[in-house]
Amino acid sequence: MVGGRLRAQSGIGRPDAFAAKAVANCARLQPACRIAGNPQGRSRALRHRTRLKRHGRVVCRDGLTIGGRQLAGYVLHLGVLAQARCIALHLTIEVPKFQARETRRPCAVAESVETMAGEARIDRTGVAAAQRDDLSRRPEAIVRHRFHGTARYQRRRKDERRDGAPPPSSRFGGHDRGTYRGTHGSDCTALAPGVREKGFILSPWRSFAALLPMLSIAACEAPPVDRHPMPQADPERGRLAMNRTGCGSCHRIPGVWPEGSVGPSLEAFAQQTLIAGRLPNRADVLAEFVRDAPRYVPGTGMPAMPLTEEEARDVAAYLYTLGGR
Amino acid sequence: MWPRISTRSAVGDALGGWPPPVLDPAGPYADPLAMLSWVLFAIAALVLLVVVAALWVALFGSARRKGRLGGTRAIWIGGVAFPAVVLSALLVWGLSLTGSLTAPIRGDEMRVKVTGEMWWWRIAYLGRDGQAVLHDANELHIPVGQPVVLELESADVIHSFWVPRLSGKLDMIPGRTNMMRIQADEPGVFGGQCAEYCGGPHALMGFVVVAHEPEDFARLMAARTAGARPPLPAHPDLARGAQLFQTAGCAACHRIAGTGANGIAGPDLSFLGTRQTLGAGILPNNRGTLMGWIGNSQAIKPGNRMPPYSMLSSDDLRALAVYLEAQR
Ligand code: HEC
Ligand code: HEC
Ligand SMILES: [Cu+2]
Repeated sequence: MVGGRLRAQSGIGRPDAFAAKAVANCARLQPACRIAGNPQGRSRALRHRTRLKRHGRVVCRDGLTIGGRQLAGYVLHLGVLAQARCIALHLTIEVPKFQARETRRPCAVAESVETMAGEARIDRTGVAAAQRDDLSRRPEAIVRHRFHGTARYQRRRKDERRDGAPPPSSRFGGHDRGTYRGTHGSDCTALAPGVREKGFILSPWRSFAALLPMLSIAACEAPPVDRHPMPQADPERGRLAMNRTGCGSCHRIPGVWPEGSVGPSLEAFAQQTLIAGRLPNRADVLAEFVRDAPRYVPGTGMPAMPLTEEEARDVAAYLYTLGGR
Repeated sequence: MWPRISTRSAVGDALGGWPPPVLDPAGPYADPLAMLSWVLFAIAALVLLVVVAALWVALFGSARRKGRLGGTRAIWIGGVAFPAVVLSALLVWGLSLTGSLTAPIRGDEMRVKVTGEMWWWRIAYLGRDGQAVLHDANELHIPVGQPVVLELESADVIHSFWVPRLSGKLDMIPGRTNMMRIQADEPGVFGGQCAEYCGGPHALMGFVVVAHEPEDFARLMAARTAGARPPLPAHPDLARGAQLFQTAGCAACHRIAGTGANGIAGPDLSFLGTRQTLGAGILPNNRGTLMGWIGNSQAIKPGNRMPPYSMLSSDDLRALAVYLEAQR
């Protein structure tokens, strides 16, 4: 029995959207949703901000880059991207139930998830090495799932449903039913029960126990707000840039004046799949599009706008805050 | 000498300082007003202090003090003599301080007629003979360091002309001509705002005063009054834009000097390409905002008197914007 501890340190000195890094190893994991659901702020500001529960976001991935820093060498990394105004974030995670082997290797949950987690499913999309850490490219490699609990819990639920029992409410309570995104690195190896891994064999139960937390991390759905993390850009500056250049004369954009009607409303832009019905809705593409739309979509009614490259990135970051809950 | 309160922001700068900051004077006709305001604030604070002290005595003071406070003497002094002296002194001082604002208009000063319209500003630069030599709208150009006399009129309802950094407010009353001076000490852009409720989009009735060095100003005026329009830059959309301006009906409401467009219901667009703002001070002026304004100005400034143009295609909008941008 082990009480695992996961520490997250605040990183980047951006007050608004700061990325907190959480690093944990395999044996000391909790369901991701639990992790983000129990943030304990070191600063008072954070502790009182229950909003973090919804805005905190766990990205499970090996070798994840957050805020320009790569987290490597651990079995599993949790990137917690929190939207909060506070600089210090301290996450404490207690794992009372199990202890698994320490394997200093990335573990994958690809196959296992399907069989064990019922509804949860992870595509086996590999991510090209060069693209792995480009946050803007990640949505393509990631399939999102709704998270309802751990794999075991889900199985139980499935059984219950089959038996005609009413679905129980979420095990973690209403607000814990967060949605998170999971993926697996390209170098992950499947760890199914009984699989031989690095010279030792995990017993079926052990490997299941080891997998359990990761399953829950993997079996998550990305909230739309979080589909396009842009830790280097500042949404607030983007909003000001939009006011300054007058995007509001054609678009309805929350927080931007006026509310023009020549172009489409951007109120739920983060949820959109295509930009202008043509381009993939990716951060880099969007940052180019808002500066010089006619170049990418000839004949469009959206004109080139006087934004610098940096402002365009900030604008894109702001647009990706739209459409969340 | 006096604290300045500047509320400038990046957005405001893009809009030529609109909405304008108050108590941040930039010329000799705004300075005394800022000083007067601060002195009034200070005296008001002082009086408040005295009143609170008296209240405190009335509530918690000793019986002897309370008696004194309620005595006839205290009432004569505090209730009659003190206000009479302070208010009279303030009146005399205030009038002498602001006397310069109302000095009689001489004949040799530069004059501009500004007419308030619902919800924009018609501007006519007057020659020595009082005849208009140049028409424009929503943006007033002045030379630095010399007073400019404004003849303020209204075409419909009461408006009020106010450039807080350059002067006080003066109402524009239908059927009357009110005179006022403004002067800027340094080149710059100064936001203005209608300060008398005049209907629907009153709050969006702004304008911009641009102060130039005298030589620059003279050059600008000479170029604009010469009559010859600068050649339009070559652009594939230009001809289409010029044609649309006539066929879409814009010319019926807008004037562009040197073309057949002679409408007077809307702002003069002869120099639109050089304007800092669009829609009477409310939007930055660039191709995007121009297209947005033409496409549907009602969404931007609800109730204004320009119709929306939902029948124009994006190519039409762009052509019109290109054409208007070229008007300099
Ligand atoms: C002339 C009016 C106009 C202005 C100004 C304008 N846009 Fe647009 N915008 C449009 C139109 C029209 C479209 C639809 C383009 C298309 O589908 O081809 C559009 C599309 C977009 C889209 C894609 C929306 C979607 O549903 O796919 C985004 C994002 C966008 N604009 C952002 C901006 C930003 C940011 C600014 C300010 C820097 C801006 N726009 C200024 C007219 C404008
Ligand atoms: C019925 C008369 C009318 C017609 C027709 C009309 N406008 Fe206007 N326009 C106005 C009025 C009135 C305003 C001032 C609106 C305000 O700020 O309150 C205006 C404002 C403008 C402005 C902003 C000017 C500034 O200084 O801020 C532009 C640009 C403009 N119109 C272009 C056009 C174009 C292009 C067309 C043709 C497609 C057109 N207008 C047709 C009445 C008209
Ligand atoms: Cu008004």
